[in-house]
Amino acid sequence: MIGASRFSVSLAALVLLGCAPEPKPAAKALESPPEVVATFPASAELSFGLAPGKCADAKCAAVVQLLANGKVIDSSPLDFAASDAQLNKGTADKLMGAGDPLQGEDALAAWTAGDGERAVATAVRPMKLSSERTALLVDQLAGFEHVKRRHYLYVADNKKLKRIWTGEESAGPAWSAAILVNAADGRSQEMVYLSGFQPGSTEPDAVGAKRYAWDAAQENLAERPLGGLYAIIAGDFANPEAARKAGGGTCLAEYSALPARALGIPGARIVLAVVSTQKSLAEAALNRTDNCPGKVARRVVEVNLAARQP
Amino acid sequence: MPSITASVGDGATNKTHDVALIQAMLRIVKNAKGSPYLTGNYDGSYGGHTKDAIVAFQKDNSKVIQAGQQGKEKEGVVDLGGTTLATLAGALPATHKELHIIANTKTVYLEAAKADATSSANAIRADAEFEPTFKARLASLVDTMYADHKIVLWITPTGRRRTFAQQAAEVKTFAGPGESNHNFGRASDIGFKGFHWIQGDGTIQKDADWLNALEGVSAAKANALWDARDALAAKIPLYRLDFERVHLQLYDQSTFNNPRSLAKLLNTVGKAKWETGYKADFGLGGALFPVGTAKQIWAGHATVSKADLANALTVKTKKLVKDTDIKVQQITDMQTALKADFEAADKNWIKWVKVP
Repeated sequence: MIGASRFSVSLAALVLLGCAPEPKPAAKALESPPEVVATFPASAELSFGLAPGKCADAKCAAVVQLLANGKVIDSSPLDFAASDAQLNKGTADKLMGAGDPLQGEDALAAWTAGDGERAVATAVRPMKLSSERTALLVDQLAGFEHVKRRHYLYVADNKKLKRIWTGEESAGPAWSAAILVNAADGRSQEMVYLSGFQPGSTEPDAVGAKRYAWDAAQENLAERPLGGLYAIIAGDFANPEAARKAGGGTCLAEYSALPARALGIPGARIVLAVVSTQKSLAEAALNRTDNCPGKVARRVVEVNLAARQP
Repeated sequence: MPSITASVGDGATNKTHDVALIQAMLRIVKNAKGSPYLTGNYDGSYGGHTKDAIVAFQKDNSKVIQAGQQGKEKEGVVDLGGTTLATLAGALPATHKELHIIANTKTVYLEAAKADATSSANAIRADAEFEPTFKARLASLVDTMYADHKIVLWITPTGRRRTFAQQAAEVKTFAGPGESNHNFGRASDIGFKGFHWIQGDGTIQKDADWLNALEGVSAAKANALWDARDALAAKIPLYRLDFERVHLQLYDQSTFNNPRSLAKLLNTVGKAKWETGYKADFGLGGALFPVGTAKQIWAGHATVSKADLANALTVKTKKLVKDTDIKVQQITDMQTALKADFEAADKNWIKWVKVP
């Protein structure tokens, strides 16, 4: 065990895989419902819950539940298992990727189980699919030294839980973020999934994005045109190493050294950049970089990621 | 030459890895019309398409194979050490000659260069930034992986020892300076160098150190290769972490506590007395006071309060020191002194020992 107070925390970003909609069978109903730590309405009659799961071989996976009148009618274990079942409430750490990379601290609740390398933090958010129906977006962050994120979307389907999407990071220096955005109809939400990889050395970083919306006819999540994304560009560089050197140890340390062409930016080779779903967030964050060291010119631009994954 | 562990075909043993290898070969080798014998993606599952492909290949090469004749292989069956396998291997293009697959996996790959394995192992053995036992084991893993599977492992670009300063610059980790196993030369991120695997359609895919391309196709297939690495690592032994496949370390993470181990090193090489938390006695020999996180201490911003420093000085000097007597410079000096202990730990990383 590492034992540091990492998730104490404020319970809190490759080549990301398995991010296509994937129907997954839900697990069996529990005999004795454990304590539910968070609930969200799924429909007029049903609600989602998050609860501690059972342990096997010292691995304890929290469960998403489907409840009717307070009774658990279905449950599904999440993929990351902690060393302990007890869920301790805190706030989501930014490393969790539960929202836009440039979103400020909004005190999203998260529950942590276990400690050190075997700690897993879980956050749950409702995603409005229509005026009558809500899905549950779950974010998990696991580990201490090397952290991994995983994101899941559940819907209630014939009184069963159905995992319709999983955002999964690859091995290595990957990051990801699941961001809820308002749909054009003003009544529902869509999800933008950002994923990145930071290999280091002479290799440039990579970033990709996909946008998903509920397809009522197919009763499933469907990929939609990505639309506009925004990025703060903090300087043009000859190579990734120069970009990382410029940002390292500064408030630009979380920025990626990206090939300009990956963002659809002409006339540059490598840019130090961070991508956001909202122009306003990018502009606000740009202002916050005023005190960053370095004299690189910073600007907000609309970028075209062409729905590519790193 | 590619080899199988048991027969493949109708009524044969049909182990998944053998089937996958024969399928891949039948996907790569083309008939007289320029079409592959197996038209679908190889997947390790034996069925009618595979049987038809084997039979078609045997018929096209009947003069050599003579399948079904007395003393020869049965029609539709590829025997271990049989003529069908040898003929199929001989028909592979030069780019695909050295195909391999690991038992119980479904991914066929190309044999890596021995010179790369030797170079990787030698680089690890020569790395002064790894603890001696760890680097010997790591180099042994590289040697064994190549000997057993013809795969080259090497240290990824950011996988060596990290100094405390480098650790402090890491933004996508919870581990502060001195809290990472990488800080003490007892951990490494060791991936697959130049791994070339055969895609379902028989084409070659060069992958990154982390098998990102393969994982993009199938996480299970990538995990199977990591599992193969870890099976060899466990025998050495080297230990993995639960959530990051590329990382291996000298000790089982469940047997020690990083902050407590750091505190012990600080007590060994520093001037203050330390406890995990972190707490320090300011080098004054009395009680221990909370001084913040490893990141704060390394940054020179240890949370030293006037009250705590006054208390410590009172005990040390046996004269009452009030909070108001403490000057800002004394706080700054103490923050610098505490950071100096961390710098000493960084400099003396080799002296780190694990503490439960």
